[in-house]
Amino acid sequence: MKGQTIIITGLTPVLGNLSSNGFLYLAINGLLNPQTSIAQSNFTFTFINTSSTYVQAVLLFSIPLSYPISDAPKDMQISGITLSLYKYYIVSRYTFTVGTVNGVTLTIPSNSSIGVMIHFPKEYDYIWSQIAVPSSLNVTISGNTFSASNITMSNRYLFAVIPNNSFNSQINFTTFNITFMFRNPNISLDCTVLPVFTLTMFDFKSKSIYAQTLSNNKVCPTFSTYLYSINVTGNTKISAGSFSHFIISL
Amino acid sequence: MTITCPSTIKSASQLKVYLSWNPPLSNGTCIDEASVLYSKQCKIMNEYSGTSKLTFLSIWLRSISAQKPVVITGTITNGNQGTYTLNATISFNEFVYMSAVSDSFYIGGNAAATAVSSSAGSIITSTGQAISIKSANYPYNRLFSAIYTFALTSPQFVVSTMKIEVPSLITASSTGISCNYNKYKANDDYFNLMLLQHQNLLDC
Repeated sequence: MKGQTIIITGLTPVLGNLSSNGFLYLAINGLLNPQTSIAQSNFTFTFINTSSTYVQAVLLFSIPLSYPISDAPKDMQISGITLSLYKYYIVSRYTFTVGTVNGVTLTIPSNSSIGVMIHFPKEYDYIWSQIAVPSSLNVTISGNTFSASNITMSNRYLFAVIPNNSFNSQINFTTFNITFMFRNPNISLDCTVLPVFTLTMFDFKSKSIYAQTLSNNKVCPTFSTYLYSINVTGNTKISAGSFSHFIISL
Repeated sequence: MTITCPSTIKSASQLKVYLSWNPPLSNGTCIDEASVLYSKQCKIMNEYSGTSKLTFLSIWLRSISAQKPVVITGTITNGNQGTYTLNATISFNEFVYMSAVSDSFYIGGNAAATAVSSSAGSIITSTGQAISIKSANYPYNRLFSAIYTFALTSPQFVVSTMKIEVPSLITASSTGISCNYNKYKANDDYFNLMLLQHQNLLDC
């Protein structure tokens, strides 16, 4: 993007396969929303044919388009990440404990359609293709558990949608837990790259991010090479010819 | 072209349909027939709308009712290749109540044809040369890096590149932009667009 101009190339085969009454989605990722809503402002589209001897602008028109803007997301912070198993490369139960900043209350109105999005550190890249999509993801708020019905993954993102019929009444809260099964990476995390994990709560009805963890989040699990902790208890001295009880606990 | 007057208009007597085009062209010779729009400017029909000189079709009506669609069917005699729009104004005693501008359409040749809405039309069709754009941003949050989508119809002629000029209020995020295309989905959502953002990449 140069200035205010975006030039998209390689459209000939794309538009060539489009039916005369069909629509095609062009998505531009990474544009920064403005400070306030754009009620109506001109976008200028120029269709250019570069295949002829001379480059020709074959169609140019301006259209007043509108873009709505909502408030910035509310702040959250990850206070803990607990794993059922810390060994490298093993499937473990992840539990994120998340809270708001300065005691701000989050409110989910009844019949809300909420999504949870988790972004994993780059070390998960090496095994991303070997990580199975979790069969379930639970969000626990004030003792109530809400299960995601639709879970997908892409490029170190985990997306989970909680059905709108899950929220029968309004919920106010400051902390919550998220639990799901996930494979650990096969190398240690670089805990100096912040944020280590990012967790986002999305409101589908308002098409806005409702709350998001801060960019300085540094909660970082430490993985190890061993699988289980083994504790052995019993007598430290056994006389010859006698027997003694030992307790081995995992 | 169908026009529906807003309820603020109780009645009006005159409907004018202008034909404007880009780039502007020199005067041509016109046939003196009120029901025909020309894509060459007519010396006998000098009228200005803003700074553009326009060819117009003037229709006198006894009364144009509010909220009632008015359908205009006319013939455009092609004269020059270019991008055109139809601009309709409803007025009474030279006071303009309403002005509406159609989607742009493209005329590719100088053969005469009737403006029709069927796909059989060789020059102008509602689903052919006319372009329609739908847009949205995901998510809405203020000063947040977002996915902007443009759903467009096929222009029906060879297009390899598209240039989009966005308002100055919209800028690129610090990580830059990337572009891709996907099958249009009327009620898409942020998660789906995030999942698809690395598929069908386009250079931009």
